[in-house]
Order: sequence, then C-alpha cells, then structure tokens
Amino acid sequence: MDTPKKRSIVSLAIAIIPAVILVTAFAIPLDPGAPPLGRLLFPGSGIWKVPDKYPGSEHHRVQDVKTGVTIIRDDRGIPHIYAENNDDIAFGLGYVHAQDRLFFMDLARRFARGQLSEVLGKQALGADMVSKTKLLEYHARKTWKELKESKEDKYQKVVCYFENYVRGVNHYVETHPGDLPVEFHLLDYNFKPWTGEDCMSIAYFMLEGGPWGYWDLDRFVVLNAFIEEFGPRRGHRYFIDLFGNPAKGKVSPYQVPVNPGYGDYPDIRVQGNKVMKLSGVQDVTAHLPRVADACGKMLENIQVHPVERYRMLLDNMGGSNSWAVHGNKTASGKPLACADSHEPWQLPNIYYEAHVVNTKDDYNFYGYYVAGGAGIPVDGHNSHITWGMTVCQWDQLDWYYYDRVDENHYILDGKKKQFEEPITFKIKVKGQDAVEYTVNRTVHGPVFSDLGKHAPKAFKNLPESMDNLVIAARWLSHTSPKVKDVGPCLLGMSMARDIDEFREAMKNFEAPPNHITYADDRGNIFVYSMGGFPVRDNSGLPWWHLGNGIFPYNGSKGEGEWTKVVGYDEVPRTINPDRGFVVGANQVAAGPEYFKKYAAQYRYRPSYRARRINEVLAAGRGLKVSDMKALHTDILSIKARDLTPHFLDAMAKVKNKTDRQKEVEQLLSSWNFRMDKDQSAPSIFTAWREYTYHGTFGDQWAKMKLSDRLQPMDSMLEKLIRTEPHSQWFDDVNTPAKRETSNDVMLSSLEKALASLEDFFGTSDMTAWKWGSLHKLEFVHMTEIKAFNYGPVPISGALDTVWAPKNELLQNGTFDPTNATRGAHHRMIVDFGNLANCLSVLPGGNSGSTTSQAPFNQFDLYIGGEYHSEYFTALTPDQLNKQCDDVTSTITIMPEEE
Amino acid sequence: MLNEETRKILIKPTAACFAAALVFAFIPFWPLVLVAGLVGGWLAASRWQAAASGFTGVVAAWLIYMVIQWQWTLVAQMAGVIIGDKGLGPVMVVIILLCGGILGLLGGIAGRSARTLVSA
Repeated sequence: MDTPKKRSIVSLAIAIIPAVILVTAFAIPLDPGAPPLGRLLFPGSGIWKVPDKYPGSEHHRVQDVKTGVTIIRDDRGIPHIYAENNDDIAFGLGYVHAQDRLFFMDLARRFARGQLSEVLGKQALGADMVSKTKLLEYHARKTWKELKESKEDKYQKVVCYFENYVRGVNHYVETHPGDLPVEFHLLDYNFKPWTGEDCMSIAYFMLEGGPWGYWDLDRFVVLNAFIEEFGPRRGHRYFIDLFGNPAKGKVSPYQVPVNPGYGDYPDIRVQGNKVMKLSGVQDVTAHLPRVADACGKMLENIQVHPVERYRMLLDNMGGSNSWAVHGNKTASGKPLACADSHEPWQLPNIYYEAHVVNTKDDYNFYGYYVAGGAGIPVDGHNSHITWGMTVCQWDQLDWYYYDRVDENHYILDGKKKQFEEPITFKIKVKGQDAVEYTVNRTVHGPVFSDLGKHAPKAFKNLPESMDNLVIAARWLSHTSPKVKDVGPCLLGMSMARDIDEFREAMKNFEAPPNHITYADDRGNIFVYSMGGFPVRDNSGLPWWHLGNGIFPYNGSKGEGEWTKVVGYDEVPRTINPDRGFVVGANQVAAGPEYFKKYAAQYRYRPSYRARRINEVLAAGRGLKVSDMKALHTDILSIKARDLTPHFLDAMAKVKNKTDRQKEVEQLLSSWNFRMDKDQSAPSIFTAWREYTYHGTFGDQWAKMKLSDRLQPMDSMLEKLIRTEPHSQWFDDVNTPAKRETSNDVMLSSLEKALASLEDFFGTSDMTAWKWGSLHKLEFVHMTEIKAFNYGPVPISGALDTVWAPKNELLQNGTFDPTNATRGAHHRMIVDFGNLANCLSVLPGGNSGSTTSQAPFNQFDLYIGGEYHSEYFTALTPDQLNKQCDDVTSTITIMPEEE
Repeated sequence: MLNEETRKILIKPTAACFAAALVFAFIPFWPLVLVAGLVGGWLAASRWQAAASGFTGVVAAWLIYMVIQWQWTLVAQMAGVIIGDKGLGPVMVVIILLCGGILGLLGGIAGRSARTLVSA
C-alpha cells in the first residue's frame, strides 16, 4: 500500500474512532432514567422542538365535533370556548388542556394509576405499589365501566361529555405529534393516548384529596406513646386535652364554626382536666402497643410514595377560604362571593381556568378545572350562581386491624375468614421486566400491611410478618354508589340557574367533603358542609377508644362497623343567615350540638383565618369588589394579636430587662399585627412563637420518640398560655430539678429567637430583620427539578392570615427557615351587582410550559395582590375580540364537510 | 491572516458544510452533523482545511438554528438541570456549539481522508 493511502486510512481512523465514541456518548443515556444528551440538547430535537408559544391561529376539521367549537385565548392565554352544545365544549376543553398541560395530565394519571415506574424506573416501584394498594385504578376502571353501562340519562350524558373530552385531548396529540413539553424529553418517553379510565383515575385522585390519610394510625401511635409515658389514665386524659374529643364537645381551642346554628364552643375555652373513669385498663398493655408499633412501621414505609409522605405532613399545613356576602352588606345590594383554594404551590398549578359558553343555551360559565379531569369544574360561577369550596374533612376513611390466621385467613368478628379475592397487577418498570404485584383484601378493603411481604425490595424496612397483624383500609369512595355522581353533580352545579337547581344538583355530592359556599343573582347565600360520612357502631369498644373513626378499629373483635352513611339531608348548613355572610376556612364544621349526634369530624384547621374573615365581614357595610380584594390579601394575624400580649406580659415580669428585651418590647408594643414583609416585628414574633411551641412540646415529643408532625394544633399553645400557665407541657423534661412555667418557656424562647435571628441576618440591628427575608414564596415544579421552580420572592402574610403562605422557621428545633411552598393557588371574586366586575387570578397561569412568562404566568398579578378580568360578559367570539385588545390565538374546530 | 487563495479554498467547503448542517439541524437526527462535516471535508484541499471547515460550518449553522428557534429560557433551565446553575445558559450554548464543532471537525477530516482514499 502506498504512503498517501496509508496516511489517509490512518487519518480516517483517527477521525472516525473519536467520532463514533462521541456519537455513542451522546446517543446513550448516562443514567437509566435520563435521555441521551444529544437528543435532548442538539439541534433538531429535544429542547429545540418544545413549543414555547401559542400558534396565532389554527383551523381543524374533525369528525368528532357536532357543530364546531371556537377557542379564543385572551391576553393571558386563558381559553374562552364557544360552542352550540356541551359535548363540543368538552372537546374544546380536552384540546386546550392537552395543549397546555400534557405532562401534568400524564404524571397525574401515572400517580393515580401507579404507573410511575414505567417512566422513572425501579426507583418508583414502591410508590406504584402504594398507589395500586389504594385501588384507585381498580375502582376507577370499575366506575367507568358502570357509568358506560348505565342506562340512566344523567350518566349517559356525562359519559358522552367525558368521551368528547377524551377525543379533544387525543385530537390535539395526534395533530401535534412533535410538540411534547420538555419534561417528556427529560424523562425520555412519549405520551400515550388519553382514555376515559384516565379521567376517572384522576377523578379518584381528586376524591381522595382530603379524606384519604393516615391520621387514625398517627393518633393511635401518639395515644400509645402517651399511655406508655404517663400511664393509662393520665396518658389518655392528656391525649384528649391536646387533641380533643368532638363527641364530648371538645374541639381544638377558639373555633368559630362554619355553621353557626349548632351552638357555640365555650372557650372559646376547652373543657376540663377531669380524670375519666376507666375500666378494663389492663387491655392497654395486652394490645395497644403491638398494634401501634405495627402502624408506626407501616406508616414509615408508606412514605416511599411522595404524595403519601406529603399527606402525612398535611395536618400541619394550610387550607382554603371561601365566603359569600348577602346583598344587605354590599354596595350594589347583590351578593359578592369569593374563593381562594390553598394547595401546594406547584408548577403547573393544579387548577386550570377557562370560560365556556354554550351559545344556544343559557350556559355561560367561568371556572376552574383539573387538567385531565374530563372537563368537570371544581368551582366557579355562571351568570346566575357561584360556589366555592374549602375542605371539610368529614371522616370517610377507617382503618381496621385483625389477627392473621395464615396466608389466606384472618379473624373477623371472632371468626376465621378467608381474604376476598386478591387483585393482581402487572407493573411495568423501565429498564427491566414487569413486576407482578398482588393486593389482598379483607371485607373492609385493601390490606396495607402486606406491602413489605409482596414488595420486599421496595420496602426494605417493613417486616414481612407485621407481628401477625393485618391492617386494611375502608374508604367510602371505594364502595359508595354515589362515586358515579361526582361528574353529574359538579356539571349540574355549574349549569344551575337558581338555588333549587343548585341544591338538586349538589344532593349526591359525597366526596371529597367540602364546605360549599354559594351565592346567586336572586340574593341567596348559603354554606353546606357537604359530603357523606359513615356512622360507626360505637358499641363494645375498649375504654381508650373514642369511637367515631378517630382510632383504628379491631376488626377481629367486630368493632366499628358502619351502620349508615349520612349525606345531604343531615349535613350542617346555613342558609341566608341574619348576619349576612357565610364563611368556610377549614375550621370546624359546626357547633357542639351537631357533634353530639354525629362526631364525624376530627380534623380541621385552627380558626385564625376564619375568625379574621368573620370579623371583617361582620364589620363590613356597603362592601365592594375592592373590599374583597383587600380581604383576599389580608395579612393581619389574629394569632399574633392573641399571643403578643402574653409574650409582653411575660417580659413585663422581668425585673432588670436587657437593652435587647426593651427593644423587642418597643417593637412588638407598637406593632399592628400585620405580617408585612417589610417589617421586622413579624420576624421576632414568629421566631419567638415557634421556639415557644418547640420549648413546650418538643422535649416531651423527643422523649416519647414521636415525630414533630404529630404535635397538637397551634391554637393549643395559645390555650395553654392563656389558661394553664403551669401545665406540665411547659415543664422541661431535661431539667428534673426545676418545674418550668409558660413564662419560663417564653423568656428562654425569646433569647433563642433573638440569637437565631441575629445569626441569620448577621446583624444585631432588629430593624434589619425584615419578615420578607425569612418568608419567601416558591412555586415548586411537579418534577421537583429546581431549575423549573419560580421564586423565591419575599412576600407578606403567614399561615394564619387570610393570605396564608406556609413556611416554617424551625426544623426539629433548629433555626432553618423554609420557603413558603403552599398557599392560595387561585382567587376568584364574583360580583352579582355587575358580572363584568368578576375577577380571577391563577398563579403560574394555564400554560404548563416551564418557560411560561408574564403575562401568561400571572405571577405579576398574584404577588401584587391583583387580578385579571374574566371577560365574562363576552358571550360570542366577536364580543371577546372587541373586549380584549390582545387576543393570543384563535382555534376553530369544525365538523368535517359532508 | 489568511491569504486570498486560502480564503477561497476555505469558503467553498465551509459554505457546503454550513448549508448541509443547517438543513440537517431541522431533521430530528443529530448524528447527521457528521455527514455535514463529511461534505465540507470532501471539498477541502487539505486535512487542516477540512477540519477547519467542518468545525466552522457546523458551529455557524447550529448558532443560526439556535437563534431561529429562540429557546434561551429553556437552555438556561437545562443549564440548571445539568450544570446546576440557571445563570450558566451561555456556557450551555458554548458547550453545545463546541460539541457540534468537534463532530463537524471529525466529519471533515473523515471526508477529506475518504476522498483521498477514493481518488488514490
């Protein structure tokens, strides 16, 4: 071979070998769950193909619409959907949901159906197994089948609506095959066609948002720890003191009920320290610790599921507000109504806003939807009525434990019983073979204590035997025939024209339980604490059991069987009250009279937000939309107003105050209790309060090895300071020689707070300790990829103010402020005096794109406490084009020509 | 500075590589960038010219593609995901261009060598 040829071969090899290496390096994923970097980053695919703006106009001809639908996106990208029938509206909603939220929809269905491992690999297997065990997918499929097979007109209509929604989603996907959001590129998978079962799975996922949780088990763990620490009598009494017993009229302190017509709580004061008469105390040592231990282990393992982990923390978190004001308190003489739901600040926002108009019918509706949820609104208003929802927490879920006999049998009510037919799932896992997973069931529901047995790799710590205990869940929505009615109910409510039609539509609304505040153009207002709840047989319970679903039941002894389900006819309600307003802010549903009959609510929020809304509305006259805006963003803290005088009293007793104490005294004495980001008093108050809370409960909780998340409500600290300064909870268990009082805890906590703040801010100048530096808003992307988050941005407010961002300064007693990642995730104001005044804001906006900017993401409005117009009076595309100067896009979807 | 002749010799392969790389950038199969380099290299007079034209042509084509597609926010977010800092978006762009350039360069050398082999 001649030299030039040799040289060419060598240089060819020199070029090709590294080229092949480079191409291979960029063509294979570096991590099993990640995409090849070349496809993600290099021109032609990946990030370069992600749609980042709405097309100006699109025109489609499809078989699936009846008379056609026109979708116009306004200046903030909010779709206004015009059609001559509701099925075409559903098609349009499906289309825009897919255009804006394809990844959100896909991830939501995977969460609900237990299909995360298919795209995330084996790391998500544990989460999928928990989802499968909850049987959401199983029941969603069953319910969808029942709906389709039903001959009843209302179900037929809703099936048709759902199917058109599904067609809308899939039409978008089919006509935009390359337009996948960036998350699909990052996770390297494609979107599968949408189905009716997906819609139902997401509906189930929403249904459990509220009623599903592990509180019965948590309480059981706490009660057991109390009894072990303090003995049966004192332990049991302390438990009731701190956590209440609604059946005996004891709820958390200072509650102002949603429905005022059922008596008042006397505290606002929590009753007594009476020692209860106990019988059968020996039962404790024989039984309770074993079950509590199993519950604790099971809970620890269920936390492999991120949603379940979050749910366990939820009890210490925020809530929602909604209220309606009668015309006798408004300037226009017509009702005003407001809603602001609180959820984790997630990107994309869990809600999606849209305006839908049936041009042939009197159906003009502006509302909030969950993308993927079949176009069923969660709240909103039409031209005649409006409603808002706040979580009510009727107890719809019970846990049962049983003695296991063998692999196939357990003891039910004293008799050997075979498990129900098990359900086997095949879970697809990226990068490996599918995994078979079997869920056992008792007569009550799915067995959770077998998680470790069936999935030892996913649940490393869970002992297989669970000490021969079987633990199963019974959830109302698993078996209630009214589950089928969720769609018809909400759609019917959105189409109601007056109070009678609305209540008729609402009747079968069983889950998730919500306080529904209502107003209409005829001047009516009401609140119903809606949702079904089971009544339990409280007979034959051991002495420590408070009944009413508060603790798990011993299924082997036949405890806690459901005797009936209470619904619409018997839930507490308040219609057109003399005081002229109704308020739902997740506080207790009713007064003590109601709970004497049905003690079905054990969970609710401290009443601080509710009290503030009540006092503003009670004092209000001639209220206008501007007053509603001010109340939505109100930052006055009732908690601070209640507690600060006690803090200052404690300091007043100090004889020789230090200069720093004097400075604190001066700052807090002149404070207006507004949690203003530019003031330093909120920083001092909050740090002081959190250290006081930790100083009160933290030591004893640590001694009992209980998680901080199981501590009592905030208002309990206020109650103890106000009424029981010598309570044993103030005593520091680490200083046995001394018995501390509330004053001791408050004063030592102040010193800790000041030291922490000085350390954090790097200065002793208290005027520099601005609340906004400790309290920052952050919206977290649902993938938890930090680069997609929004924020942090300093904001005013606190968990107990009406504008209720949730953050914490202390983590397990250590000063380490978190960003606020929960709060109002939409705000709506409806003015029946002038519907053109109706306002809305949805932080994050409709677009699920990670690159969505102002004006579409609406953060500019939200953070500034502002709103956008709904263009609600635009009843035709032409009217919208006239009202909105800057329409973003127009889509027409017409039937195929004959 | 390059003299007139060298410039002329360079322009043709670079332009060819650039044109091919720009067309291929719109096709969702990025390894075609090697073919763009090959095209440039085939027309180059020497291996050094082939390398230079492959590198320059691809970098220029990808840069123009990026400007047309205008995904800077997303590039910054990818910098956040991959490098850990959203502020390093420009660095991300440089890295992508360098990768493309190197692939073009290698393609160019391969193209020139292949032509020598064929004509030998």
